[in-house]
Amino acid sequence: MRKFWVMIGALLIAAGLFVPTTVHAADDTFKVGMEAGYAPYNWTQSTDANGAVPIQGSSEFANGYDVQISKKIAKALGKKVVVVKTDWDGLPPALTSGKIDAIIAGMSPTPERRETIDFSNAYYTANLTVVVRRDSKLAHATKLTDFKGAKITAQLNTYHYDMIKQLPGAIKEPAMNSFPAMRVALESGTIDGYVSEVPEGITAEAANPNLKYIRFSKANGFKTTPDENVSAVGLRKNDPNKAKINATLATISESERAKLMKQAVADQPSTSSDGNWFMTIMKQYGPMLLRGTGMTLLISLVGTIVGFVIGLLVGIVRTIPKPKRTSRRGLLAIGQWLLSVYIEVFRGTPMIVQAAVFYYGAAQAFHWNMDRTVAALLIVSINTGAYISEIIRGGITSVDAGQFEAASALGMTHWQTMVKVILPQAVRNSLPAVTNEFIVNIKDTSVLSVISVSELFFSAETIAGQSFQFFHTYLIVSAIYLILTFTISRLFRIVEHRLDGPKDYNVMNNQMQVETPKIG
Amino acid sequence: MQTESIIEIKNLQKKFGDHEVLRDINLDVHRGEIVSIIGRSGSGKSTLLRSINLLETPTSGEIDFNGENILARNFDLQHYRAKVGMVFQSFNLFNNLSVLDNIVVPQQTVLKRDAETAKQHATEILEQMGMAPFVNAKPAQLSGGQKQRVAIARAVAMDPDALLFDEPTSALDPEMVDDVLAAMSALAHTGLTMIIVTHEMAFARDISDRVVFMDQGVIAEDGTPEQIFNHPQEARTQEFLKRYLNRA
Repeated sequence: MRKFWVMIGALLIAAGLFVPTTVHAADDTFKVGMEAGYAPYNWTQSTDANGAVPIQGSSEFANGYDVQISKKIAKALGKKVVVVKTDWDGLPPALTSGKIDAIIAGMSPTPERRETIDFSNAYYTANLTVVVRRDSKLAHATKLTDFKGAKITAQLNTYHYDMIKQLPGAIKEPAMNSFPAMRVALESGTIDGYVSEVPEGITAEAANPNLKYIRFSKANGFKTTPDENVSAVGLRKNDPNKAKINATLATISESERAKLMKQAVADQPSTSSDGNWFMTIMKQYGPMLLRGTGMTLLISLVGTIVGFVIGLLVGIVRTIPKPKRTSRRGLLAIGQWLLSVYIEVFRGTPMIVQAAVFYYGAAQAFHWNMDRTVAALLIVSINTGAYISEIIRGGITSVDAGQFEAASALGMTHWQTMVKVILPQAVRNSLPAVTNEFIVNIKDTSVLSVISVSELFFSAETIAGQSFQFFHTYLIVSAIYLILTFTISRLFRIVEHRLDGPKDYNVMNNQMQVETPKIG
Repeated sequence: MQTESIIEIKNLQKKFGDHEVLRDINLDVHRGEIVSIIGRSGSGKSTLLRSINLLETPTSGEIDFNGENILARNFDLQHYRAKVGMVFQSFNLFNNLSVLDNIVVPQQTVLKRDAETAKQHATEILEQMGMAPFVNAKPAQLSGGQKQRVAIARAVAMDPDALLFDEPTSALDPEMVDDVLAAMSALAHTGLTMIIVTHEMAFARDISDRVVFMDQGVIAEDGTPEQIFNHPQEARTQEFLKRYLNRA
């Protein structure tokens, strides 16, 4: 048993070394939030080519029109750009909670958004379009009325989605999370088109020959207000830098903006789909996949181990017999009540919600700016702890009552009984369920993309978004998940067998071992 | 052989809900005495035994150990239980530990003995019990009789003042009973105080200084083996013994 604790300690320390220490907002960095997956505005690449900027907490780089604008603004502010890769929905909370200094992500200053955050003047004006399949009859559409009966969608929480009502007779499909997802949906035929901006349409067309964007004439296109079809820099309310940023943007002329966008379209990464797709993806994105796998393993391993330790401790406390003294009994009752609240709360809410509340909420309410990997480890550990507490409780209940009686009759305390006798048996009984938890963790860490932890699924989304090889990318990623989970379930099976030992006891063999003199 | 009392039970009552299992029990056990408790199933024998080391909490009454009330608020229960060992009908060996560790771990945790001393002590006792070849076995690998001998060794290794036996042979196959009884007889000759709940009448007669017959939650008769087995005074004692001895 002691070896077991030493091993856990060593693992935790090792894990601690891997976790990058919390970086506090240094004053000379300008932290810009973007998806890094909305080419040509912003995308992820693996080198710093064409003036790309490092992405915080990873070894990847971001580039695109937004990045180039960010650099100009940062220069004027006398700072250095750091890109914080964040899901679209995570951008406003990241800004208000101080995780980032600005949103430069092709975001339009809509009245709804203006209620929570402030915006600079526009830094790009784009016309709307609809991206469709080249082989569909919609490919020949020229006006908004041509979309009668077509299934159309757009990105969630964008004004694009509201624009679908300008397409008479179009069927409004539920909004989707990201552009890569919409491209997959379009290509697979679940939707017939999505509303987008022209630069994104150019990108989609260039990257995937099966897609086409509709070139509306000025008279036949979407009607937008000046607020809607522009992109502006999102800022916290009363940001003192707003004037300086507007002044900087004013120095970038229309023609320079067009030039920058043209350059961005030319620079965006593309994957040639000829040759062996597996080798192509592995060659270009192998390291990214490997890092994603490492992060997923780290979070689920540490989360499961820490959760296991929490589960054991909670299990011990929840089974303490009623003390004789009234004061202690009251204290114990309060403690046990708190523990059941903990279990019910963390079992009863989704981990994705916990992560968002914990990471953004803590920053907003208490100005705790924690490293997102640390936050991820904490969330997964606490969440897993709640589940494993119940698993261990079941394991303890399944241990024969005679074991408790014998230990009590020998004069052992509750703690001694638990540690020496009950928990080893309870843990053995719980092992299959704990294996399950570990496997669930491997897969469920994917929800941590909401706080931008670059685990395997987040990497997969990035790769798919860049390479446009959705099917192939996700095929590789599912193989990685399967290898991880299968290996883990086998390893735990071996551990179970080792713990159980042989069914028979051979007196002769054991005597031999005892009596054979040591040589040397 | 009258010495001072080691365990003194006064007006003990135990209720499970409305059901009164023990009624006004008074029993005085002297140091070094071997007391057998006999009686029908459900007569309260086991409950009495389990009350002595507080595996059951008495409803009312008093139990004194060396003159000290064990039901007092600030009584050191852990220390007391180390002094009064218990052997169970279903052995209750620690399933996760080897035979040796079953005996070593309680010595280390409760008596704070160092590993070497505890191990040496355990080995000696296992040797006496004829269980030395099985030191490395897990309980699941042993037969019932072997398990019970290890369980006795575990209790003895704590160097207790008294040992409680709760029907130690009732869960055993007949051919294994003798090994366990032999081990208990050997212990009886070391001067240890023993309270034995048993259905082995011949054994009780041979080994005991005193036999207590219980019926419906009360001590019906209390005397030497000679008195109880050969000249029982109470009608219910006679009836019980007649049925039992006929069956045997």
